[in-house]
Amino acid sequence: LSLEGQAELVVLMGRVAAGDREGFRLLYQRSSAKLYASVRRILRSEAAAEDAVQEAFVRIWRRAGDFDATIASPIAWMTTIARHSAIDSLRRSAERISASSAGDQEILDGLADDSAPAAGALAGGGLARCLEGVEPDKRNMVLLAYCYGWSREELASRFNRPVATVKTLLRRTLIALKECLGGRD
Amino acid sequence: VAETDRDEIEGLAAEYVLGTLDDSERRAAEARYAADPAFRAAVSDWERRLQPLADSAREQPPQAATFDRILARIDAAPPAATGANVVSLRREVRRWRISTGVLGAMAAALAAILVVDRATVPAPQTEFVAVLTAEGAKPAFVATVNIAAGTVSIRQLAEAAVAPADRSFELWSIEPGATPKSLGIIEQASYTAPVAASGAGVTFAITEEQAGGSPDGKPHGPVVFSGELVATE
Repeated sequence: LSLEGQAELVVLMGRVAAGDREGFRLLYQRSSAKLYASVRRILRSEAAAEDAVQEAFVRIWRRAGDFDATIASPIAWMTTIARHSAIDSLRRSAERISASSAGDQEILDGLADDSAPAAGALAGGGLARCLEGVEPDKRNMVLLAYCYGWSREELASRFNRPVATVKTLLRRTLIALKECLGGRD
Repeated sequence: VAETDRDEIEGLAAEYVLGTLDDSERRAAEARYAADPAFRAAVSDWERRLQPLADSAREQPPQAATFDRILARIDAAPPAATGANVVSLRREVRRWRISTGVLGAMAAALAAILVVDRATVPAPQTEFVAVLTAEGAKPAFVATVNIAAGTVSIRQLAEAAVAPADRSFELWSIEPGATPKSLGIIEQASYTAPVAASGAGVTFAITEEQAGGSPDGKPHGPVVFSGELVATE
């Protein structure tokens, strides 16, 4: 997203916090395809994804007043809300993930794609490079959790590790990524 | 100790964004997010760091009707109206059919009475009403819930409020944060069935469904009329 795009979203977020529905509609137009992409990747069922994206925007509407433009990026803030809505739905449903992690390399390739000129792609390139440096199991744990909403328990079962170990590994891996990215705030 | 605390905050923020906290941990993290600026900042940093992973998902617009459904949900549960007086709807809702005693007189009411399951949560209010309208239009239906009497009645007000041929109007109650529950098809002469009782903050909506109503208990058609249930006293 360009800087202008970011700035526009910040303004729209302010309008939404004030209860402005036209602002909300514009915010939805600018962000829904992106948020739906994250939700859809976590939830296989289209009906569940539709429900989760609705829930996400209801939460965005209600929590817009909490958005702090001095520290948060609007799209990243909304992405967390959308992914959490999808994860909530996933955890509620009886359906467990049985998917393979066939998407891992695809995701890494997408991150490393420098043909896209946007600033985001460069940052993604940095994250991709840092992820490449992580041991495959740990990298896959992070990718499966972030992209597909896997829980610690699911990761524990898949990677044959105790749940507490998964928690420790996830945190260590993330801290290593932060250091690799330069530990910027 | 300060170092350990910082590590803990950092790890918690990272896992919060990653999505691997369990239910109670996440709720605690959300509360902390609201109260602790340092935690908020740590979360924001993690959101930004990991955002390229979200950006790697192929963009895809939701359905065309999604935004209207979001607005309907927001209207169904405005934050100010969601409170202790929201009576939870019971899961089992059976279909009922509306009685139309006055088919010829379109302006006259299409009236219906539902038998409400008495075993609902007691509410301080005993009567609630929802006026169902199309956006910006005149009232089309009015639904009255009388918890003390155990009845719900729905009345047609507008002549135009008739489903097209081959379609049915289906009534739904939408509890804040829950999926819509069918209250049956607005169709014919009489019905009797238990139905969920409702309190303030619940929205009633009428959708246009295939003839005979939604086959799977979920709304598919567009919302034609909707209105929020409010206390009458």
